[in-house]
Amino acid sequence: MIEFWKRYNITIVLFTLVFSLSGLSFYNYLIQKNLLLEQMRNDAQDTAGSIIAAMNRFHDIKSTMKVQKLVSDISLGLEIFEFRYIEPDGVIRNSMFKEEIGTVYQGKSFQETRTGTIPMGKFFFETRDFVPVMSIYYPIRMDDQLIGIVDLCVDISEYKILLSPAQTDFLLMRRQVDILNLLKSIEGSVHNSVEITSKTDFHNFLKKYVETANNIIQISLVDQQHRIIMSNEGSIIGKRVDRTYVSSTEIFEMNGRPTYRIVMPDINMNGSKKKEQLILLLDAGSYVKNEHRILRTALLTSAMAILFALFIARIIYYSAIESSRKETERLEQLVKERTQAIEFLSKTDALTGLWNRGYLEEMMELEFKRSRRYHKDMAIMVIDLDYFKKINDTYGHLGGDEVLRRVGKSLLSGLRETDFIGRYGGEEIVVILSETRAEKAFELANKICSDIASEPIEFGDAVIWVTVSIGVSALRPEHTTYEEIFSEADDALYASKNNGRNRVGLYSHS
Amino acid sequence: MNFRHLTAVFTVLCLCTADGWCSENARVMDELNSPLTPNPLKSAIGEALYNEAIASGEYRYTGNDKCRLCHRDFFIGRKHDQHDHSMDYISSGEFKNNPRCLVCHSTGYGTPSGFVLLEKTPRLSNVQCEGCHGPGSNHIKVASLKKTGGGLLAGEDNPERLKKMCKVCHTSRWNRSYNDFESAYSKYKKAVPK
Ligand code: HEC
Ligand code: HEC
Ligand code: HEC
Ligand code: HEC
Repeated sequence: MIEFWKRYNITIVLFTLVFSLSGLSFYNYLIQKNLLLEQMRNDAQDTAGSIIAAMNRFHDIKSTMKVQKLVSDISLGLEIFEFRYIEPDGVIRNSMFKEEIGTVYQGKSFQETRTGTIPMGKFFFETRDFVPVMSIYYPIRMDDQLIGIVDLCVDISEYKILLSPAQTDFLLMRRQVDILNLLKSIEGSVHNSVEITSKTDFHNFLKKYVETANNIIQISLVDQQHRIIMSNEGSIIGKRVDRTYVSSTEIFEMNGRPTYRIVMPDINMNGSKKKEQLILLLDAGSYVKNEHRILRTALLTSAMAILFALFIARIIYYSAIESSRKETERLEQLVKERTQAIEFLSKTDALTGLWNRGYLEEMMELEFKRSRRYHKDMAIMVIDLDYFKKINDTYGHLGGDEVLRRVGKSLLSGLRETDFIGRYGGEEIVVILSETRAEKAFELANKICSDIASEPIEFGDAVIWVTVSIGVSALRPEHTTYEEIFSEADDALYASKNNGRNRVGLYSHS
Repeated sequence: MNFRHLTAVFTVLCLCTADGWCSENARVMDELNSPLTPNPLKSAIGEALYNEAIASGEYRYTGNDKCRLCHRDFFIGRKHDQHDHSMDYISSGEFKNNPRCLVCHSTGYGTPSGFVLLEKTPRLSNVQCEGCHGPGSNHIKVASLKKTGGGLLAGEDNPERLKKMCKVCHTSRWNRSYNDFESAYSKYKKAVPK
C-alpha cells in the first residue's frame, strides 16, 4: 500500500485534483440549473396567476356588467327589496349584498324551488328579514338549458297594512307586470352577456392573450375528466389529455421548440365550485439556451482542470526525467565498461592471458581471408610444450599452469606487436603472423625455440627447464581455408616432435 | 282551586288591566292637552343647522330598506327593537293621523321628505334608523362613494346630538322605556339593542 502510494503519489494527487475540480464545476452547474428552473417555474406561476385573474375579470366584465348596473340602480321606482343572480348550482353570481357573492344561496324558498314546492317563474309571498315581500325565482334559459336564476322580491309591507284585499290585489297585479317587464329586460341582458361570454368569445380572448404575450405558446382549461374545455387553440377544444399530462410539470419538445408545461390545479373560475385545471405551455427556449451556456461553462472548467493537471504532470515528469537521465547515463557508462571487460574476458584465455581458441580461430579465418584478398603473406606457427605431461606429473597442475603462463608471457614479449598469439588448447599455442613469409616465420620460430630453451622457469624452489616444438606453415595460392595452413603447421609440428623435439619444422609442400 | 278563587283572580286581573288602560289613557289625554312636541331633529341639532341642511336638499329621508343594503345586521337587529314597531299603537286607532302623536311615533314627521301620512309614506312609519340619526340620503351618497361612514346629522361622530334626539321623544311623560339613560343609549351601538 505504502509502496503503491510512493510510486503513484503524484498521479493520485493530480487525479484527485482533476476529479474534485470537475465534480465541483458539475455541482455548480446543477445548482445553477435548478435555480434557472425555479425561476422559470416562478415566472410561469406568475403568468398563470395573471391569466387566471384576467380570465376572471373577463368573465366578470362580460357577464355582470349590465346586471350589476340594475342591481345598484335601486332608484328604478320599482323599490326592489332583494335581487340576486344565481347559477343553476345555487352559487350566487351577483347580489345586492356584496358579501354573499360567490357563496351558495341558502334562502329557504330557494330550496323549495329545488323540491318543486315553489314553481319557478311564478310570484309568491313570503317574509324576508321580517319584511313581507312578493318574490319570484325567474329562470333564464338558453337553448332549453337553465343557465341562471334571477331572484327578485319587492317589499309589500305597506299594502298589507293599509289597503283592502281587493285594492291590494289590483296593485300587486300591476307591480307584477312591472316586475315581469323588468325581468324580461334582465333576461335579455343576461342572454347578451352570456352570449358574449360564450365559448367562441372566450376562445378569442385567450387567443388575443397568447398573441400579445411573447412567451406563451398555449393556454388551456381542463375539466376534472381531463377534457380540454377551453383553449386558445380551437382545434384541441373538446379533446381529452393524458392523466400524466396534467399531473406533471416538465420541459418537453413541441413542434421542435423546447416547451415548458405548468399545471395550475383546482382553480375556481368565478367562484364556481367546479374544479378546473389551467395548463400553460411556455416557450422554454431561453431557459434551454441558458442551461446550455452554464453546461458549457462547466465542461470548460473541467477541461481546463484536466489541462492544468496535465501541464503540471508534464513539468513534474520532465524534471524527473532529467534527473533520471543523468543517472541512466552514469549507469550506461558503467555497464559499457563492464560489458567490454566481459567481452575481453570471453576472448582471452584465463590462465595465460593469451587469446582463447574461439577468438583465435575467428582471427585465423579473418587474417586468412584478408591476406588472400590483398595478396599478402601470412604464416601460422603451432607451438607445443615438450614433455608437458611429465612436468604436470612432477610439479603438479600448478606447476604446469605456471609453466604455461611463463611461456605465454615470454612469447608475448618475444613476438611483434602485429602477431596474434592464442592458446589453442592444452599445451598448444598458436601464433598468427601477418604479412610474414615462410622463411621469416621459420626464423622467428627458431628464435622462440632457443629463447625458451635458454631460460628455465622457476617454480617455488624448483627450476624447470622447458623446451618447445614448433610447426610453421605459410599461405600459398592453392590454400582455400585457413584450416589447410593450420593442419600443415600441425603436420610440421608433428614432424619436429618426431625428429627429437626442441626444434622447428617448416612445412614443405613439394 | 274552586270557583270563588277563580272569580277573585279574574277580578284582580280586570282591575289591573283597567288601571293600566286608564293610566295609559291619562298619558295620552295629557299629551293631547299639551303643546305640540317640537320637531326632534330641529331640537337636537339646532334651528340654524337644521334650516341650512334641509335647504341644501342633500338631506332627505330614504327609509330603512335602503340602509339594509349595507347595514343588514342592523336592519334585522332593529326588528327586535320597539322603535321599529312604534306605529303599532296608533296606526289602527283614532290617533292615526294625529300630528301630536306622529312626531314621536314615526320617522321624520314635520320635516320635508319625512313621514306625512300612512297612506302617502308607509315606508317611513315607526321610529326607524333615520328617526334617530336624521335623514340618510347624504350618508348613503358619502358611503357609496367613499365606503366610509359620515354625512349624518346625528351620527356616531356626534353623540351629543344623538342624545338630545332621544330626550326630545323620551320626555318626562314618556319615560318608561329605561331607567338608566346612559346604559340604554350604549345598547344602541349594537345591531340588536338588548
Ligand atoms: C314626546 C313624544 C311622544 C308623543 C308626543 C307621544 N308619545 Fe306615545 N310614547 C312615547 C314614548 C317614549 C313611549 C314609550 C313608553 C315610555 O317610554 O314611557 C310611548 C308609548 C306610547 C304607547 C304605549 C304605552 C306603553 O306604555 O308602552 C301608546 C299607546 C302611545 N304612546 C300613544 C300615544 C298617543 C296616542 C300619542 C298622541 C296623542 C302619543 N303617544 C304621543 C312618546 C310619545
Ligand atoms: C333609537 C335610536 C336609534 C335608532 C332607531 C337607530 N340607531 Fe343606530 N345608533 C344609535 C345610537 C345611540 C348609536 C351609538 C352612537 C355612539 O356610538 O355614540 C348608534 C350607532 C349606530 C351605528 C354605529 C355602530 C358602530 O358599529 O359603532 C350604526 C352603523 C347604526 N347605528 C346604524 C343604524 C341603522 C342602520 C339603523 C336602522 C336599522 C339604526 N342605526 C337605528 C341609535 C339609533
Ligand atoms: C352604501 C352603503 C350604505 C348605506 C346604504 C348606508 N350606510 Fe351607513 N354606513 C356605511 C358605511 C360604509 C359606514 C362606515 C363603516 C361602518 O361603520 O360600518 C356606515 C356607517 C354608518 C353609521 C355610523 C357612522 C356614522 O357616520 O355615524 C351610521 C349611524 C349609519 N351608517 C347609518 C346609516 C343609515 C341610517 C342608513 C340608511 C339611511 C345607512 N347608514 C345607509 C354604508 C352605508
Ligand atoms: C322619534 C322619537 C324617539 C326618539 C328620537 C327616541 N325614541 Fe326611544 N322610543 C320612542 C317610542 C315611541 C318608543 C315606544 C315604542 C313602543 O313601545 O312601541 C320608544 C322606546 C324606547 C325604548 C324601549 C325599547 C323596547 O324595546 O322596549 C328604549 C330603551 C328607548 N326608546 C331608548 C331610546 C334612546 C336611547 C334613544 C336615543 C338614542 C331614543 N330612544 C330615541 C321614541 C323615540
